[in-house]
Amino acid sequence: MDYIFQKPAGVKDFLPPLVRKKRQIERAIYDVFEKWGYEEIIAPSFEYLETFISSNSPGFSDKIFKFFDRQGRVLALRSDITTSIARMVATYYGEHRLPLRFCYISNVFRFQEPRKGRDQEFFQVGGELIGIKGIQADTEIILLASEILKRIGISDFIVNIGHIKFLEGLLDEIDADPGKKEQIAHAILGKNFVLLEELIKDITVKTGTKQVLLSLSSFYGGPEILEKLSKTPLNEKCRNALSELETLSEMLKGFNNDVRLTFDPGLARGLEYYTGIVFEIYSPGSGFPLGGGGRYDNLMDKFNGNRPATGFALTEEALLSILEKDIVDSYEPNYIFYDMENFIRALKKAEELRRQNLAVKMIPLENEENIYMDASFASKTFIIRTKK
Amino acid sequence: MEFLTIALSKGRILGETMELFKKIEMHLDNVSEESRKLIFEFEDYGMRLILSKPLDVPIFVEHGVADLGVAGKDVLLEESKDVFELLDLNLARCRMVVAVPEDRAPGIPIYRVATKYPRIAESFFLKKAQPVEIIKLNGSVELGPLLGLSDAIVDIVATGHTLKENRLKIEDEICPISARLIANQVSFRLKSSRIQELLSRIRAII
Repeated sequence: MDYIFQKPAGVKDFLPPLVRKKRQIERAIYDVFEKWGYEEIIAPSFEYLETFISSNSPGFSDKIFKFFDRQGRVLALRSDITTSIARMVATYYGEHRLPLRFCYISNVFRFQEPRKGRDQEFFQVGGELIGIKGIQADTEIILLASEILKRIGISDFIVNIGHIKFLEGLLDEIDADPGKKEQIAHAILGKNFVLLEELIKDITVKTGTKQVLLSLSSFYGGPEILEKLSKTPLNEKCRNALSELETLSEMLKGFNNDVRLTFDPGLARGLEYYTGIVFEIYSPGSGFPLGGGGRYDNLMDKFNGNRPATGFALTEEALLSILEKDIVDSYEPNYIFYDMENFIRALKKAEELRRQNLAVKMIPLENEENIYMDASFASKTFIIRTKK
Repeated sequence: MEFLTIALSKGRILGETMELFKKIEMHLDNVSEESRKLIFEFEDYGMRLILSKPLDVPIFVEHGVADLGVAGKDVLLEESKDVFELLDLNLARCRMVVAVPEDRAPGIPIYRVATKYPRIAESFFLKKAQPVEIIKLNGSVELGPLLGLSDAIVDIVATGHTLKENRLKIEDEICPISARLIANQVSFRLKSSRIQELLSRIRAII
């Protein structure tokens, strides 16, 4: 086999036709963000490792690309943008009392086994709403994420909503050592119902809670799920979470025609900074979630900021993989072929066309075959040469 | 109706899986490895079955080209894919064990282990605080100790015949193994009612 220069696994080459589609999607997305009052923010590509790790679960640091600065301090390539935004808000907007709205489209880096729609470097589209407590902000974020999807042409998605406090409430009822509790939380997080059943088989849990835990795999569906759950014996923490979910469901009702909602009390997202409502978005076109988000009221504390916040991120690759075949790539520049003697004439022609806002590519004419003779491009092809 | 696609593992586990479908009164006939067909569609049930290598079942399910899958716990432990484990089907039951030559004296530490399951073997010996070298083989791991490549093997054992024939004995048991029903995370939500229905039918008979 011929020698081919290799690139590392998990990074992707975007060639121009794909980049054009990517940018087309991004333009539509930025347009929605702008209308909703979200301002673009750019986070540094790397930060100190501490910025990322203490806010996330310990295992998460395995996924971070690390390196050293000249003083030997550990640096990390950004693994998500939300954490950097939290740091920036704490640093620059400490005195700012109005709600803040930020958006970004940015690449992030995580050590993970590359698979379809999830490379080690991938692009996230996200929005953060900082400084509004409670369900109104969660409602806005869910509607905004939905609006973006619809705007770029994905309409058959569902938004699946859960609540971290509900899960915490369930775990509070479990009388077991922290190690075991951690395992149980992990089984719920990874939806390993077989393991979950095994783990709680022989530990003391209040009967009501045990029943809910054992049937977590079937508590999934529309708003009726919330009603079903409210009839089970639950502690106060769970009840409060449920009532927040009910309020959210109620608020989104007016928009229900457009946004399909489901509820899943067992939904827990990977990042540990979530503190309230969490959600994930699915579409039949993708075997992986398109994205998700939720409330992270304590993330800013770490940077001495202390403001409530909620946000979402979509994986751009997942969006692209669904839309790629439907987006028309309409790239039609003008071509000017010229021979050496007529370079200046050709340049002037190019200038004239560019002034008319046309795209021009100049190509030196070395032999006749060089000329692009596709009939559909004839009107866009200029040949400038000296007749021989 | 939209198809519910289920990836099934070829081999011993396939026959038992088809028996299970029969028990819940789904007549999915003529699904067998002999036919060389890989995809079987059953319009009446709105189901599509895929036959694949056991190791590939979690991959198809993780990517969502199959909504559900039937895979051995051995494969799930070794591959650790992002799939939901819904139900222990109690099929194709066996054990993951450490086996050594019959004539090996007790108490001698194991230095080298041949296995098809390097991750499982590694984490087991780490938990036992034994440093071992793992040699990955792709089949007939019993050859490891027979040829002097390794001191022990880590493999699944159903009846123990193969071990006996190769004059090996079980030294340690790692965990019980059985077939699991797994689901893709998106399908689990988007096709939830159909999956729940299938789940409750299977639960009723196991």
